[in-house]
Amino acid sequence: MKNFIFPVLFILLAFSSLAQADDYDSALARLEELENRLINIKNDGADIPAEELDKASKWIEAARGALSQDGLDPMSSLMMEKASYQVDYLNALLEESKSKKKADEIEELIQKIRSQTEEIKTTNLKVKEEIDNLGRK
Amino acid sequence: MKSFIILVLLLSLACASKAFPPNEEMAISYALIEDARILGGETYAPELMREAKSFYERAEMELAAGNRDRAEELRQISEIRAKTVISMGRKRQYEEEVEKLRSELIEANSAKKMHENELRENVLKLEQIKDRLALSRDLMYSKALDTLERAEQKIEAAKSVSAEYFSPQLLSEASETYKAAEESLNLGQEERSIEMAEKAIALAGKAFDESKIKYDLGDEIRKRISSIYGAKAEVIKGGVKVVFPELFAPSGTIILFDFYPSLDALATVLAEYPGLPVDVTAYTNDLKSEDDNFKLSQARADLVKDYLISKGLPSERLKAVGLGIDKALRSNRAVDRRVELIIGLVSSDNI
Repeated sequence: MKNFIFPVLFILLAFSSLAQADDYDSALARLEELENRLINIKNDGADIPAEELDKASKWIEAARGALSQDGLDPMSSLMMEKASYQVDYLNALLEESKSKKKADEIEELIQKIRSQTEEIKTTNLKVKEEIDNLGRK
Repeated sequence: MKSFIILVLLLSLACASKAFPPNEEMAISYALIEDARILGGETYAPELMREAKSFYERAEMELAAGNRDRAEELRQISEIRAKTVISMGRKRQYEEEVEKLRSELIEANSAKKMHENELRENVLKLEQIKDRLALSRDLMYSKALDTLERAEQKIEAAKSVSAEYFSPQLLSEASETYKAAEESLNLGQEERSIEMAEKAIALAGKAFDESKIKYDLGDEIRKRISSIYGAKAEVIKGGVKVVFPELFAPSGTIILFDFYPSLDALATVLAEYPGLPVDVTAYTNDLKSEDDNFKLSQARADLVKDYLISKGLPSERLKAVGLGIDKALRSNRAVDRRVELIIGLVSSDNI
């Protein structure tokens, strides 16, 4: 019986440590992916508050520190989650900024068109006046 | 009773801890979740809203359990999710604004296009008017030129019938008006030019009509006199000139016999045109002295005048002048002793 239990326990422990190693690697890979996303957001040049960008960088680093110090424990998982949500938030801000930019551009275009229309109306009035003057001759 | 009051107080505190976050950060996170809810987060991002609330509640629990670090992490996550929902809400608002602005853009573009079309039509209309005016100006100029030409022709026609003698006043007025018309055209006043040229045409026409009657009369007289033997007749300005080159014998005051019928015929013609003045002018050749020549020519002129009076012409119609030698001619002695009669075409009554 003993001969059977020990090998099984050994195998289970071996698999468990292997699974933990896999989770650790996968967590690191996720942090790297978050960093890449953050870089892309920064490169996009959108009008995102620097404070929020700094938070994301800081939290990714903090999660990485916690991960290397304590492994993938509940606290480091929570910190990773926070960093990930912060990047999602930055992404939302980026999308918001794009929508705002689009609205601003259309508004500007409308103003431009209205201003051109006013110019056309003024020119038209002058033309009509000239027509009337020539008509009187 | 005491234990009941303590229980109620504990329950109230428990409820209060749910309704009012325990510290400032928690209050801020709670307010953000409220903001997200007011923005309609539960509708457009229900999952995120649930997460925000869930993390908030877990933070509260961890806080209550004294796990401040873990509570802070959960609170921050809750806040991030709430802010994400708010950002998504604002994005939606911007998108709605974009949609609204797109409609406004379509309207603005449509209004611009409408005014552009109107402007295009008006510009076209203006160009057409300008073209028409330019054309009408060209036509006007052309008409002015034509009218001037007609006026010039009319004046020339009046001159051709000796209007400067028969209607000098009218012809002069016509010429002056013509010049004014020319000046007006040079100044670009086509309408005035046409008006003046028309006036010149009318004046010249009147001068022509008046003169033509007299001119035709002169021509008629010329023709009749031309058929008389020995007489040469031509219409000159203002009258008819009749020349008898050899009416008298050289150096004498005797009318050559052959010419009496001619003088009779002349008297008959003149009698048919009563009122027309007749100037008889006699010349001599250079065979005698100047004084004698004057006397001789005067005697000859008087003789012709008297003869015509004897044929019934009233003396007041006739005038006789002897001019002696005609220094202007002196070509032929026979011609030099000629007698000229100028029949004025303006009635002596009018003179």
